[in-house]
Amino acid sequence: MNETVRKDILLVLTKSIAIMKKTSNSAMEMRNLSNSIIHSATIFQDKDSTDTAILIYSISKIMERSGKSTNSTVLQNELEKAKKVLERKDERQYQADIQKIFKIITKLDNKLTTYVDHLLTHASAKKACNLCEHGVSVGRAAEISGTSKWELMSQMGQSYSPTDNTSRTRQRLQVARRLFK
Amino acid sequence: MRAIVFDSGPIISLTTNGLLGLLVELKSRYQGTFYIPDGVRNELITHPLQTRKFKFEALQILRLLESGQLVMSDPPGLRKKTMHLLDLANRILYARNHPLRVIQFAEMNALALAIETNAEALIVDERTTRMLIESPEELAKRMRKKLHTKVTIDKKALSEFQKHVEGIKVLRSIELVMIAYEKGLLDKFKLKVPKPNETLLSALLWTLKLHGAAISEQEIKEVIHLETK
Repeated sequence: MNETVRKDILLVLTKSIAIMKKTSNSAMEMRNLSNSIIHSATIFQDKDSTDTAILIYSISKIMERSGKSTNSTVLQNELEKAKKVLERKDERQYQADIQKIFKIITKLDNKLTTYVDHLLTHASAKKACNLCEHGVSVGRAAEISGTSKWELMSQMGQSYSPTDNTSRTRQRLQVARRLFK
Repeated sequence: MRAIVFDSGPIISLTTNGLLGLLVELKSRYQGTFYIPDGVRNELITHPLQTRKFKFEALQILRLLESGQLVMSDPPGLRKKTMHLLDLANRILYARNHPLRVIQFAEMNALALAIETNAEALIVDERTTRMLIESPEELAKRMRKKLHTKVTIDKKALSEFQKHVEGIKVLRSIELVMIAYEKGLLDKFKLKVPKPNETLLSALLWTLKLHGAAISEQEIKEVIHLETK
């Protein structure tokens, strides 16, 4: 693991644990935190940054839905374990711990289960949108985040804000008209 | 022989908006071939056929392939050319001494096929591919702003990439829908509502945008103005 990436992830884990310890439900803070690791994910495109972003975003959505609950305590404990492992630079164990947390999220109580199955897919697509915002192509962002272009494009319209030169729009229309005259 | 090559994005966009039929109608007016490469076929058909969520969409596109409205092309040497373009494209931009891998195989596969077939246009919605072909400096500037870090261009890689893509015209699904509108292919949706032309255009452009097509609000206003003046 690149040392910059490791430090970025440690910072995010530290902050996320602090957020989860708060008495009030700080789902929005957690969600914003998931965006902060996107810079590393864009530059280094490593699985660890992307998985961490998806994980933190997923936890934010669970906090939004279920508030402070035993689920939060379980997830907080697992994040603390993952953080300690990463501090020791045991990358393989860190990756195993993150996958374990993903499984915990998937196995949450029956009330959340249907929502949660959708949640990880949604979270992957959401973080892929963030990568696109930073300049990565749709296909590459889908590849890095483990989602599909179909899934990503269905999310993108809600949050993606492209800009194109409007004079180029006219040029394109002119080309199109010539092709289909 | 006349050719237009498609990336996956525009076809996904048209399919999810119920506008795939426009491709058939436009094809009949084009008098040439609409191509997709193998990489794009995998994204549009092979992979979603293995899922539940987008299986029916994949079948709709497969139907176009089977009827010849879309043609899959994989000429000899295309994969090698694709890998070469992919390698070049992913070495153009650097941040923190690290090459930024901003593009993936299928996107370069479509570009490679457009070059090989001397295509009159490459239809691609997503912004990064378009910017790499048309304005790489703008892409670098955008990434600098978003990443809050220095992003540099490898001029040698860029120069070689630009030699390959010289002359490639890029269009989006938006332009195809506009042509369909201009040809009257969507007149059945000009209904008894206030300002029917403007309403239809606005509805079309916004639905494309909200389903992932890269068009800004400013552009939507511009297009409506151009088409309804």
